[in-house]
Amino acid sequence: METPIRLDIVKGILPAIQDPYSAEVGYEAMSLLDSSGIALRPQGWQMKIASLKRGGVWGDSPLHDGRQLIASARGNVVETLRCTVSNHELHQRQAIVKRLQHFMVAAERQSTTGYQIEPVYLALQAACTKAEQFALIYTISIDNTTDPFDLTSNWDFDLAIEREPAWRMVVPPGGNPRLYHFWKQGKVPGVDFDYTDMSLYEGTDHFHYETIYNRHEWDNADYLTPLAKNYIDIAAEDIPGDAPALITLAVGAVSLLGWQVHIAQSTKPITIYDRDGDQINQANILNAGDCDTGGLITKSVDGCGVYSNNSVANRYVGTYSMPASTTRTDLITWSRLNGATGTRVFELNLNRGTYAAFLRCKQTSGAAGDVEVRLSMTEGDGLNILTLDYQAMPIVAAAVGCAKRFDALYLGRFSIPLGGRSVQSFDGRGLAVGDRNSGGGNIILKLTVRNNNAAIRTTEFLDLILMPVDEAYCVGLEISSSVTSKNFMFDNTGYLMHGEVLDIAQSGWQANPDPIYQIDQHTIELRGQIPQLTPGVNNRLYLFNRAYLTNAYYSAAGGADADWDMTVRLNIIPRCYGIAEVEPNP
Amino acid sequence: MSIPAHWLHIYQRPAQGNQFIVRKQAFSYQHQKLAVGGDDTMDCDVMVKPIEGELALENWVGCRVAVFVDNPWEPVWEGLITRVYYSAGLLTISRSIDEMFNQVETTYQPSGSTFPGHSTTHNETDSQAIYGVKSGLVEGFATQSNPTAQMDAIRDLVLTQVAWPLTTVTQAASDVGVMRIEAKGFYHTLKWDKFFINSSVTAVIKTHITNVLSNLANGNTFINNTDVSDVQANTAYQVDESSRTGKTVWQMLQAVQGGGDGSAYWVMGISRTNPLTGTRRFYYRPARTDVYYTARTQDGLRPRTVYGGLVRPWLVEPDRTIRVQDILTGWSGRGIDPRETYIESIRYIADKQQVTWAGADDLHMQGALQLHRYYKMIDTTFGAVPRQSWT
Repeated sequence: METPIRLDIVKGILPAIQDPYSAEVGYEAMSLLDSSGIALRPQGWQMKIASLKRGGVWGDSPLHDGRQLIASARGNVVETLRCTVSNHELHQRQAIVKRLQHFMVAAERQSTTGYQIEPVYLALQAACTKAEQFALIYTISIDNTTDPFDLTSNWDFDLAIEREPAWRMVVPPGGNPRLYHFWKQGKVPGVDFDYTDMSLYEGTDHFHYETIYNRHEWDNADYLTPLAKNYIDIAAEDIPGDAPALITLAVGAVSLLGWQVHIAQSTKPITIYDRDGDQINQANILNAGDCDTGGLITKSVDGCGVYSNNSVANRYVGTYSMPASTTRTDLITWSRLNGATGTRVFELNLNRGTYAAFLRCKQTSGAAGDVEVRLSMTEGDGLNILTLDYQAMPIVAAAVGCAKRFDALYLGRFSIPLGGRSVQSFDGRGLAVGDRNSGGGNIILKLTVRNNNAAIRTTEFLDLILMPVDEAYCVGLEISSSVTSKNFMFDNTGYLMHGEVLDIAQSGWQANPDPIYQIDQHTIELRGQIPQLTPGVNNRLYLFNRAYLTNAYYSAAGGADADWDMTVRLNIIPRCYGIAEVEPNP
Repeated sequence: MSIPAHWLHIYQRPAQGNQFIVRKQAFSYQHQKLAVGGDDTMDCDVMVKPIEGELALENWVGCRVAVFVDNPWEPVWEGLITRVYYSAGLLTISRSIDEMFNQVETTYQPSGSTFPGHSTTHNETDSQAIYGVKSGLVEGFATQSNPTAQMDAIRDLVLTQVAWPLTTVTQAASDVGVMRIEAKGFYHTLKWDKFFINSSVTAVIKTHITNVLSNLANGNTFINNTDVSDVQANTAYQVDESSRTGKTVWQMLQAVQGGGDGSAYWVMGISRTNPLTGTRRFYYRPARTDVYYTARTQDGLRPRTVYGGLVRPWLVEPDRTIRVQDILTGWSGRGIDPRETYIESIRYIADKQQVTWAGADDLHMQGALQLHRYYKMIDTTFGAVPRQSWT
């Protein structure tokens, strides 16, 4: 390997640029390219690439040929750096070795204790690259391969450094992920930005900044353009590297007492063309107002609904008065045609995957369990059927205005297609795609509702939300709070954990403005794994919110209002398994 | 395909509240589920720093735990932490509520009486306020014809000894920083409660179950004991609600469940926490015998849907039928289809990404299934030695 521009062992996190009152202390670095200290020997290092941990998990049977890979994960990498110390003074040689041991102990204690919070990491800038890259160190072994009492010869050391599997590009462990965005823009620290520009939950100059909504509505002109959406798209060319990129995602929320923020990732194609070239775009929310016509549901104009039913002038909800002790199969069907335009709203291969389904609905009176609903799906000619279990509809009393008008009922999870991961067509043209404008669907979703009570029950439906669970899906749960206007922060970069590798979610707000500028924040329950962006492909992150009505950990009467907006600020740390190839914009 | 991490989410002990405490990544994870009962056992390792391990030893036993994998909205397993092992180099410390009983009474055979007698109940209320009521019934062997004082003394001694979680220290080298967690499903809390009804009253099954649940000593601590919406009506016969020998609530319910409806097998258990209401409930319903899973020998029996789609092994549930598709192809003979197994229990091992299932005839599970069967064959015996009568 050609001699790098920089190769250091570093401990600690640098203060924010020009921050006069930084609480960060303990930053120190030791160069491994210092001819008066310790230096890499010529050809002293061949960088390794992370390999499959334990060779992967395989499904194997002695009765059949071959075996199948079931699971794979990358293991840590042990780099061997052959270094030399050529200083003529014994005490200076010893000082160098002691310093190495200091980093060794610090690295071990950062993993094994609760009090050593400074990350220890390798900092590398390879020759002919524009970006520095960093990797958290777990252990350092120091092997003196020459006689330590011989001062006439160099002391040769083999350093065995166990590091995390992937290198972080531009931003060190524990560093503020916004640094990558500024670096990519070619901004100079201290000139173009300083510590006052580093907020992760304020401002607009982030890797991705957007206001989205707790609903999805199509422009009825083409059903390709969303009027309101619940996702953000990150383009493939914006995610460099070959290892998944880490993220810090801030979600600014409206004022409520308690919160659940759902985030799900998909890298599947978001658009597809049918056999005669008509485009179909993907959304993970199916509105009741866009369900098939001819069903039992009534599409009612309602200011608390969503634009649907081929209209951008009126908002709709689905309503139905359930007769006593009845079951209504196919109460709502989404498949072939929506409204009057004949535009397909749900296409099998565009929506393949595994989903957690939430139905925003309610019964307006009665007792829990009076009305139950379940989801089923059929493929193709309708002979393959998968049916989920019945779930009791939430009871939401008459609301004031549109606040907390519906709650989100979890219906279960399902995968489509029902067999395999995709459906190829008999026509020999690859993926099967149904025609956008004609009848006949390749996937049909249906809601069946039953009233177990001997009285009529009024039911309302807003939409069906499908959160993909097969890539990454997480939920942050805020228990209760008397504070309004919070921000949620989801972080797997290690910034919030001061360099510790751990997914974390926190809730925070600005308790006092300038000049006191106090932020109150605390850790909340995080379920699942925070997405890591797949490099080189388009990534979509879906968001969805539900709230509590009371200061209880669970509330039987929650809300999931469609008119909530969410301000999303995303920053990333791209990663690579080898040499960092990313460059700032010209 | 990468396997998502398995996460343990630990919450307060149900008797104390429902707040989230901490989440830990689980290693060497495995769980077992039963058709009768639901989530049964779970064990795994978590990594802790030394001080964290000591705090966990003190604070985690009895806590509710939910395991999440790829779907953060629906846990794959849920229950209570019953035992923790903390490894500290040359020794392992284990703390458990398995042998803890904070409510004790004794039962014995009084001289000349047709029915068993029992002492009054004594409680360690401080322990109950933390862990819930865990009731123990001591089988007393009287050494005199009027053993009341003796039985009371036995009761009080046992309560003193076992009213709190018990600790064991083992001198054995082990990995530092590894904490082993063992947990049991919520249905086990129905074994914490005993039942005495001295008068003979018959009732339809659903009424009987409703009465049993509404009188739980733990009330709605572990389940919503007033929610019987998932208890289906079984009109095949009525039951005598009396119980004079101090069966546990679970045994009372097994006596009903084991009888089915004369033609179909019925199952029961505790559902997982409803994310909207935050409560769990008891279910009693006919077994689901339709084929739900399939498997093929050619890929190591990985579970699939009936349409061939792979099922993640951590999602496989009992109370379903699985059919092996590539043996005895075309079989349509008499009797039970040999390709099909009604799944009585499953065991999932995360490190191998493997799930094994057992039917009623599985010899390896025979012992465990006998423990779960109320009506056993005559030549197998479990439990305390039968009481002797004084004449």
